[in-house]
Amino acid sequence: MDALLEVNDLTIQFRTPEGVITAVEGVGFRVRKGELLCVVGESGCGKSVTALSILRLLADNALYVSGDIQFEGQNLLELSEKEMREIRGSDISMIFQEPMTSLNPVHTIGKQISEAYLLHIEKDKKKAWDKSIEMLKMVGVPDAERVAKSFPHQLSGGMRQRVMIATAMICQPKLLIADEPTTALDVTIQAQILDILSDLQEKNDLAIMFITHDLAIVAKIADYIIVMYAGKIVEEGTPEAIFFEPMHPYTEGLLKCIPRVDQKVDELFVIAGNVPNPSTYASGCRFHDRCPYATELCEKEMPALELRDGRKYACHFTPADRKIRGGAHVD
Amino acid sequence: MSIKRGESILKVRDLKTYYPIHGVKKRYVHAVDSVSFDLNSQETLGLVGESGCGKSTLARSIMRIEEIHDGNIVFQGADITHMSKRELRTIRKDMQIIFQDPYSSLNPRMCIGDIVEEPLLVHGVSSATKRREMAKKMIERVGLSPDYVYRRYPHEFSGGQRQRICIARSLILMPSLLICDEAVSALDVSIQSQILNLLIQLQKEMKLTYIFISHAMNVIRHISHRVGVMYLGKIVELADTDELFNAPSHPYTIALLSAIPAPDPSDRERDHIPLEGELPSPQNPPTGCRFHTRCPYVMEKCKTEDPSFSEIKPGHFCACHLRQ
Repeated sequence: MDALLEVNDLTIQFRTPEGVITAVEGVGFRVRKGELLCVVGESGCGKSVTALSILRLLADNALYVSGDIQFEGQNLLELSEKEMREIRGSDISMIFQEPMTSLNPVHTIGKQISEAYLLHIEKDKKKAWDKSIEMLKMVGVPDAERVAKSFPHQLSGGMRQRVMIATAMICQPKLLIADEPTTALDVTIQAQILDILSDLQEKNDLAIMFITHDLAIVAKIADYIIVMYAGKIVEEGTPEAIFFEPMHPYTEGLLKCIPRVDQKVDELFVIAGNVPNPSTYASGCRFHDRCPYATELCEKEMPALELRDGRKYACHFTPADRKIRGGAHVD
Repeated sequence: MSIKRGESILKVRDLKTYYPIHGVKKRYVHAVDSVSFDLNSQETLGLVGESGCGKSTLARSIMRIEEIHDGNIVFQGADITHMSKRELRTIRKDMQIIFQDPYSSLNPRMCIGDIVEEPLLVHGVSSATKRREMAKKMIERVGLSPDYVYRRYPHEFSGGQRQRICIARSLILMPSLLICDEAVSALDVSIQSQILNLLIQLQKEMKLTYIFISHAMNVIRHISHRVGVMYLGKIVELADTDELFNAPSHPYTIALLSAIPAPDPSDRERDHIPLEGELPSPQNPPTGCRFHTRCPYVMEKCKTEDPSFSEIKPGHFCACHLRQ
């Protein structure tokens, strides 16, 4: 058993004034030691809810309907809140999209970085402060001693995200969950942050669960990819498999509709329609109303995520089937 | 307006937009500093750059939403640099802007029909039936069903649909220039391609000229005919799209292009030129060339002398001492 984290058949619902909403349904995956798992999908597909559910950080109106989350052989859903607190920030830590809202504006950077260290590992404040400076140096912050004494508003977005990474890494976690960590950053800064994360993954044998909507980042860093749509996994595989031979019509469409820097086309491919709203999921395959290949079967029956010919995807048809039907509805 | 395709519609010369720093006399944030370019009718000029480089301020200055410090803007043959608010009203019929966030750009208490009709009301179309007829036509043009949307409110629509509504509102006065400020940045990728295709189609049908601002190089490449790259308030390079992407000249452009990952795993080993450090503050821009603090090819001259923005090939402008 080399899986560090194993999520099985996870279903999460939210109670809202408008009724119960299913955000994530039957999701299962595993992350190995030193592996970088990318979860991709558009807004509302359930990728952030999945990430937050692992640390049990969901809002009070969330219900774990089914499934379990095994971390090093222990089901996180059965732990008490006190035991969970032991794990958060030490064995599993997390970084978020907007570093400014994740940092406390009235405490110094050094104090915030060392907080988890003081809580989990070391009681001596001086040692913890020194450790926080060491962490800042590790993520490439110049003039770390001065930065440790400054406040969040004095730093740029890229620097703040480095501080977040330093905070998340100070207790040497085994798993880092990164929820859109570069989305708010400029491309040149994004490249710097991705380099730091890759370094950490390699040097510390760190497992990373990386959540993003940006397929270009996925292509660059992923060891394994999960594609989510409307609360379900529609396809998973290695980067080569997903990018060169997508099996699910959604993955295929998603790859075709991004404009490329290295290619010029006259007209972009379009996935018709809109991302569905979780409160109004139709029956059958959740992609059927936007799928160019949809048949009657797709409207009635939800396809299961199955392993076929070495690939895992949730569609009633194989790409070969769809081709035979001529893709009459395409374009 | 009877400006033919390819003729100049907008001339910007030496435009400066400075913001005074509160409490400090004669100190300014140099948000846009000495920017000059020409825009031809029915073309799309893409403006790229990192956050804080002044691309949005430049767009807002052109529309005279921001107070201009110095320089000159000629739009459709009229010098609008010093026009009064009253005179600007008539000009603004011809230049419109759409923003990044379609959620905050629509009044939640107005129904879609009223939102799209409002510019007509402001510009004196007094007949209600005429307004409604024009608004319905425009809503249909942006790909929505007029009867379905007319009496509904913004919260009932998704991000992509709201951006379509914003586009309908901006085009109802039949402007000649449309400024799109990060118009697709907040949208999901599958929706982004729908809006990009719509903008390109409308440009052809309505003979529109676009200034398209984005930080996403792939989007810029797709939609623009020419591209200007901005750094710290200045345009550092300006060329035809293919020329800029195939033969970038300014070290900043080269680094920027190399930093973008392509959605292709076989591209993983491609070297990117790491840019050290971060954007300096526009309050106190570096002397000489503004990029010299991060430039891998920096020379002594760059630290003291500001390179001129000159034509290195026909139609290809670059501000770098290396290329002169």
